[in-house]
Amino acid sequence: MENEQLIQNFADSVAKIKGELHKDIVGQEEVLDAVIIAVVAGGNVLLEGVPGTGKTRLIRSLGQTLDLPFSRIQFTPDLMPNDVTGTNIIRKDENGNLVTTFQKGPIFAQIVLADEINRATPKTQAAMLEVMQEHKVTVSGVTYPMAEPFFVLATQNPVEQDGTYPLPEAQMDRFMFKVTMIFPSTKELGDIVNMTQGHMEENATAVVNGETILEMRKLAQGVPVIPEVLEYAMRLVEMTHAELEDNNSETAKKYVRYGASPRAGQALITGAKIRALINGNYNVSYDDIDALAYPVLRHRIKINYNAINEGLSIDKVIGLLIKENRKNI
Amino acid sequence: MNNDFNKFKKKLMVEHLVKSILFGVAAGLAGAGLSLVVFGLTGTDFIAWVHILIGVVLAAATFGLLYIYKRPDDKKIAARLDKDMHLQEKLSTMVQFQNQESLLINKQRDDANEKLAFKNPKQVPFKLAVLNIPILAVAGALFAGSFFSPAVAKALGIVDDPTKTDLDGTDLNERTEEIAKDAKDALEESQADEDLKEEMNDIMDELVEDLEDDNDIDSRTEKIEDAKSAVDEALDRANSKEEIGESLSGNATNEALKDLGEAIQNGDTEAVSEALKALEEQLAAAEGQEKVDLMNQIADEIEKALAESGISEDDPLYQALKDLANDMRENAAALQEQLNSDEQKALEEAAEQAQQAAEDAQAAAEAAQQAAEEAQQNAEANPSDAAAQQAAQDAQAAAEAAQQAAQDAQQAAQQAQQAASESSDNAQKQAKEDLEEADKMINEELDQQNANEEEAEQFKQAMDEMVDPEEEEDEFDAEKDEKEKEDEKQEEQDQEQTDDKQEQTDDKQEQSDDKQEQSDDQQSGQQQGQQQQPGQQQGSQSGQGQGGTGAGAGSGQFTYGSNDGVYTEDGGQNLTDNNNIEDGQAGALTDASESGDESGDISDYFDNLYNP
Repeated sequence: MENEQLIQNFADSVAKIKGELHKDIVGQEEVLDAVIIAVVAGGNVLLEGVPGTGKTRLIRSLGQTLDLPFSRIQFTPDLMPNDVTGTNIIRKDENGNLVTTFQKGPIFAQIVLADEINRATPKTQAAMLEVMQEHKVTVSGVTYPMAEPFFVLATQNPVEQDGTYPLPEAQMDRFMFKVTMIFPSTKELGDIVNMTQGHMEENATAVVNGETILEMRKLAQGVPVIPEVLEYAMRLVEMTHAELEDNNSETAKKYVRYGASPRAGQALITGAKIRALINGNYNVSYDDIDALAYPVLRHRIKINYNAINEGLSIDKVIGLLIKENRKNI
Repeated sequence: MNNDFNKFKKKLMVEHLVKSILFGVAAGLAGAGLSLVVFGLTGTDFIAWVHILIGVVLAAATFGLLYIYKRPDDKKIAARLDKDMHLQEKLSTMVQFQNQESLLINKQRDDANEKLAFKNPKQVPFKLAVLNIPILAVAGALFAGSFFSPAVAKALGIVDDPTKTDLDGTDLNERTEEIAKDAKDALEESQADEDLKEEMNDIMDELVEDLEDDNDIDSRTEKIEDAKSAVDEALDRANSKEEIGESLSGNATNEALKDLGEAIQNGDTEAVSEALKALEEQLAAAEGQEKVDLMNQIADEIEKALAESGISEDDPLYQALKDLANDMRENAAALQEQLNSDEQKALEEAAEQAQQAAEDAQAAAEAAQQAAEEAQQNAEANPSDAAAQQAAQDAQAAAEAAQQAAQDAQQAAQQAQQAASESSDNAQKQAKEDLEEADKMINEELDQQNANEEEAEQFKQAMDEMVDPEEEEDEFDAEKDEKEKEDEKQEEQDQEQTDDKQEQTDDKQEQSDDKQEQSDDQQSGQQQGQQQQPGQQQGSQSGQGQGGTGAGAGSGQFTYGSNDGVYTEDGGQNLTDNNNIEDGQAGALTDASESGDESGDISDYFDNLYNP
C-alpha cells in the first residue's frame, strides 16, 4: 500500500507542479513537461526563446513551486566566475585576527536561474561546468558540494547575437534538455495579457519540496525498459554520428555535421522513464523516446551546410532521424 | 500469461499457421511447376504423380520448417499486439519482465493486463507476410504457366500436338470414307493378289469404322498405325520372295543359285533371268555324269532352301522353284539312266572303235602318201624309167585311196560319237526348257509379289492421309493451285516467245532486204570484221567467225569485241548493243542486259539472225 502511495504521490506531485506553473504560464505544455522531467531527473535545462515568451517567468515560477532555495544569476559580459561561484575574502574573526573565509556565490542554491547565459564570457560560462555536471564547486582548492536536488535552468535568446558568446559544446552537453519556448497562440497571448494586467509577480506557491523530488527521482529510476526500447534509443543517438561506419542513416550522412554524446542516451532513457510515469504509464515506450529526442538532441547535434541550404531546421533533421529509426523496429 | 494474452496469442498462432501453409503451398506449386518445366524441356517421360509428389514434399517441408522455426514466441506476439493495438510496449514490457518483481514492474503488469482486458482480438488485423501473396502469385503463375509450355501441355494432354489441328467430325468421316474408297478402287484395279486384296479391303473397312466420329489426332494415329501393321502382316503372308530368296542365297553353294536367291529376294526379275541363264551355261559346260551331278546338286540346294524358308508348299513361288528342282532331278535321272543303258554303252564303244579305225586309216593314208611321195621322187629322178613313172602313179592313187578311206573312217567315227552323245544333248535341251519355264514362273510370281508390295504401300499412304484428311486435302489443293499457276505462267511464257519469234521473223525479212541492197559492201564489211581489239580475244574470235559467216552468207554482218558487250554491225547499218539500247537511224537495236527476261529471246534473235 505504501508503494502504491509512492506512485500516487508521484502523479499528485506532478499534477501540483503543473497546476502551480499554469498559474503563471499560459500554454507551453511540452515545455512544462520537459522542465518537470528535467527537475525530477536532476538535469539542467536550457530554455531558448525569443524575448517575452516567459522563459524567466517559467523558471521563477518553478522556483516558487519547489520549496527549494532559488537564486538568479543575470549573465552579462562583465560577469566574472567568482561572481557565480563565490570567492575567499579576508576578514577579522572574533579575536580580531585576519582569516580567509569563503563567500558563497549565487550558484549555491538548489534552483539556479542562469538568465541569458550566452551573454557571459566563455570564462564565466566555464565556471558553470563543474557545478552543472558534478553538483559541486571548487574554489581555491576547496570543493563545496551542492545540496540536492540541484539543477540549473538557463535561458538564452536565439535571435540577438551581438555581444553574446555561444555556449561551447562541452557546456551545452551538460544541459539535459534544450527546450524551445514557442510563441503563444492568439488565445494564449490574450490570456497572458490578462494574467499580467494586475501585477507582474508570480502566483505559484511551493507545493513540492526537495525530498519529494528525490523520492520521485528514485521511483522513476525503477520504470522498466525493455531491451528493444533501450536499443531503439541508443540507435537513435548512434544514428546522429555520420562518421560511424556501421551507421546507415542517410539523414545523418546528409545533414549532420557531428552527433550527440553518450549523455544524450542517458538523458533519453532517464527522461523517458519520468515521462512515462507522468503520462500514467509504467514502462518506457518508443513514443517516449521519440518525444524526448527533440529536447535531448536539439543542442547536441550540429547540422551541416546541406541542411541549412535546404532550409531544414535541427528539429526537422531530428524528425527525419526518428522516422528513419522507426523503420528498424 | 493470463487468459487475455493467450486469447490474442491463439489468434496470432492461427495467423502463423495460415502464413506457413501459404508459403508451403507456394513452395509446392513452384517446385511442381519447375519440375514440370524441367521434365518437359528435357523431354523426360511425364509421370504426373512424380510432380505431385515433388510439390507435396516441398510444401510439407516448407510448411514444417516455417511453422516450427518461425513460430512467434511471446515476445514477438506481445510486440505485434503492442503495435497493432497501440499499447505503447506495455505487453512487451510485461512479457520481458514477467519473472521479475518490483513495485513498478508489478504495477506495469497490472496496467498491461488491464489495458489488454479491454481489447478485442478482432482489433488485431489478420496480416499475411509481405511476400506471402507475391510469392504465392508467382509460384501459382509458374505452376499454371508450366501447363502452357508446349512440352508439358503435350505431355499432360492439355493441348493437342501444336503441329496438328483440331478435326471436324462430320467432314472428317466423309473425307475418310472418300480416301478409303479411292484406295480400294485403286487396289481393285491393281494386279495385287486377290486374297491380299480381300484382306486389305477388310482392314480398310474396319479402320473406317473405327475412325468414325473420332476427331482425336492421337487416337486416329494409333488406330491407323494398327491398321498399317495389319496390312504389313497381310503382305508378309501374301509375299514369300524375301524368305525364299534369303534362304536360297544363304544355303546355296552354287554361285548362280546364290544370285538367283538374291534376285528373288530383291524382286528383280531381270536378275532372276540372268541367274537362270548362268545355271544353263553351267549345265551346258558339263557333260555326261558331270551334268547329272550338277543337276542333282541344283535340285538338292533348291529343295533345301525351300525347306528352310518355312514357306507353305502352296505358295506359287515355292511351287515354281520346287518344279524347277523336280525337273532338274528328273532330267538328271533320265540322263543317268541313258548313261547306264547297254545301247548307250554300245554306242560309246562303237564310237571308240570307229575313232580307233579312223585313226588307223589316217595313219595308213599318211604312210601311203609318204610312199607316193617317195615313188614320185624316184620317178622324177628317173624320168626315162617308165616303170618308175607307173609306180609313182600307182602309189599316188593308193595314197589318195588311203586318204579317202581315212576320211570315211573319220566321218564314221564322228557319227558314232554323235550317236553316243545324243542323250547328253537331249538332257541339255530339256534342262534349258526347264530353266526357261522356271524363269517364266518365278518372274510372274515376283511381278505379282512386287505388285502386292506396291499396292500395300499405296494403301498405307492412303491410311496416313486419314490422320488429318482436311490438312491433306488442303495440301493437295495448295499443290493443285500451285501447279495451275505454273501452267498458266508457262502458257504466258510460250505465248510471249511465240510473239517474239514472229517479230524476229519480220525483222529478219527486213534485214534480208537490207542485205540484198548492201551486197556491194561485203568486202569492206569483211575487212572490218577482221579487225580485232587488243585483249578481247573472245569478242575478236566471234567477230571473225561471224564476219566470215556474214560474208559467206552475203549478209555483211560483223561482230566486234568490246569491254561492255558484243556489238554487231549489220552491214554498217544496224547496230546491236548488249548493254545499251540505241535506236539508230539505220535500224532498231535491242538491249539484252536491260531487257532481263528477254535475254532468251535475244539469243533466239541472234540465232535466227546468223542462222537463217
